[in-house]
Amino acid sequence: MTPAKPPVVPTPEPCPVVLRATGLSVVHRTRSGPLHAVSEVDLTLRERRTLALVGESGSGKSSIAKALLRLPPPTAGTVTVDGTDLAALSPRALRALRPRLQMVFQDPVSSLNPRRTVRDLVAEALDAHPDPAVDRAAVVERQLEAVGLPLALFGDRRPAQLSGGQAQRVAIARALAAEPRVLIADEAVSALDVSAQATVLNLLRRLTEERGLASLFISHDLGVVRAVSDDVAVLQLGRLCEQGPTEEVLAAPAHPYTAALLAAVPEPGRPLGDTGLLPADPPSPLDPPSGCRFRTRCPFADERCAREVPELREVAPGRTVACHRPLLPVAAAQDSAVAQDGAAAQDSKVSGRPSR
Amino acid sequence: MSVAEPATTATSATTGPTAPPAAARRPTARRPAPGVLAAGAWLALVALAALLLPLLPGFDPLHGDFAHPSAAPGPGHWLGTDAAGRDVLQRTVAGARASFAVAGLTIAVGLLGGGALGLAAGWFRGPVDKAIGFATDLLMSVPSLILVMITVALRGPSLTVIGSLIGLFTVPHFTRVVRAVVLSLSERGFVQAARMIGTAPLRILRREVVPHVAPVALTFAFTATTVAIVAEGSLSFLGFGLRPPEPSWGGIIAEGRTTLGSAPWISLAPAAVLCLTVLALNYLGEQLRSKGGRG
Repeated sequence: MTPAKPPVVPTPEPCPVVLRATGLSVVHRTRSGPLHAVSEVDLTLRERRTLALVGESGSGKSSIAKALLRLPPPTAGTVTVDGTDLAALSPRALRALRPRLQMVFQDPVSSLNPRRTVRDLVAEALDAHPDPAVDRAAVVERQLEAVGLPLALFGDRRPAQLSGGQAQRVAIARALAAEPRVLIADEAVSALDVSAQATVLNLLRRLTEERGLASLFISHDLGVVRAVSDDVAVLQLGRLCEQGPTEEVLAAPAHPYTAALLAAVPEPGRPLGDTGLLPADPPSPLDPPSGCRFRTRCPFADERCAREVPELREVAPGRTVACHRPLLPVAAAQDSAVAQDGAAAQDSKVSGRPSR
Repeated sequence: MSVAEPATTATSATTGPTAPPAAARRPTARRPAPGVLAAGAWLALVALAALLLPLLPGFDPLHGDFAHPSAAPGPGHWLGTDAAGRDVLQRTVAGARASFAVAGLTIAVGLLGGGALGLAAGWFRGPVDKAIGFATDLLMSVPSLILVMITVALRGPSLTVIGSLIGLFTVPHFTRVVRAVVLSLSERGFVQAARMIGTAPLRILRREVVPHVAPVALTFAFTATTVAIVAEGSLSFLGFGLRPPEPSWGGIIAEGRTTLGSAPWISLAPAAVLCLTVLALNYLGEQLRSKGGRG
């Protein structure tokens, strides 16, 4: 991360980088051999921005979230938060830093201890890291207020007395009470009905802006992704295949896989079911295909796709795609390394913990 | 408010015991089944008798009424007398104390030892889990009753020795039960959330894990109690328990077995009490387990 090299491409986002993951890989050891859940993924989360991570089931979305939190740590790769390499920290120092990285889980009810009251659940971060200067009751009230749950009404309830949407908002309040820099929402609205989804999505959007969070929004629902995220990263069998501003990517996908995901979104007046994919099962992460991991289902795949792993290359400012035969023309002689360096240069400005 | 959101029922259905619809649980929780009442009443009766009857004047399970040896149950001796003229009811009640003392010690040793090992195995996993698993397997492969008999033969009969040894042999079972619960708990969202927040591991164990493990372990304790009572009875029957004339259920049964034809009450009274007690404990344990071990 030397700032000596000037950025070749002007960085499209002026927001400071909060979290940077480089070369993130997660390999699970299973009885049937190594399972490549995540392979060499680079992600950058910026203040006040929401990056959506999309992909079908088993594409490694949740594995990335867990790896970022080191629950458990990734097999390879580095994660830095405000310039601090998480892997370099002692267990104690890591615990002290953990509040900065918060996650909201898919199943809101099971993410809350059924025996505890809402008041105690929200205060969990304060109780885990006691600080005499912090007024516990005031923090709990403020965070519950922020998610639209009045303390007087909800403080003494237990998770079983909450609806799914309310439980998820309690989980968000608990995350907020930790004063996080990064908020990861792992399928945080998938288990909710549509009206509760809207509430939680608006909340996440608003909090990202108001509290200057760097958000990672994990979802398989492109409609939800469109509503909540600034940028999107598409994951396919543990590899990033496309990344860029949400609007642009969803309007004109560069990777055939993104196009197929979009085609799978039901829309009125369009027959369902034709994603344009070859009729093959998704390949197993136990034995990923050679070259491009999408090629067994890709209608455009040729022999080069079987031979070479496609690198992320730039197709437009701030947009990269990992495909030998992208749906958009690739900008000449540019690859992802350039964009990465540009971001790295800016990264050096933001280090050190912002005040609470 | 919760009625307005259909997601409530959907999520609670998938998460199982964490969020049962409150209304559905109440009838079973409020009104215990007749069987539960009967089992509880029986255990209370035996426990109270063992505690209170010895306080009465004239209670002496060792005193022989030589005028009435092997007397049939009647007004003076409700459960009859044994060959030495001792009151079978008094001896059975006094024998309950030996059984309960052994059972209590067994549970204490099993819960503490198995609880600690199970927590460690389930929490640390990996090599710790493997080592504990090996040790418990080893312990389970030891013929426990024989080992207790050898110890008693060498060290002399003592309820403390018998109770703690039987307890030691329940440790592997407690360990397995607790480990399984801890393993499944550590995958649960709220334990993950506590880790994510940076809660210290001991604090997570104390606040998130143990409160959920305890009801399950206590449910299993019912089963372990029956094991202890039966084991103590068997040892006493074989002559490795309390030395006669000190009463214990197994001992009284053994004393009466030679006169089963002429004076069956001597053996049958303590045998029936033992059976009913074990049955009641098993039944209560089973009922608790079917309720999911919730406390």
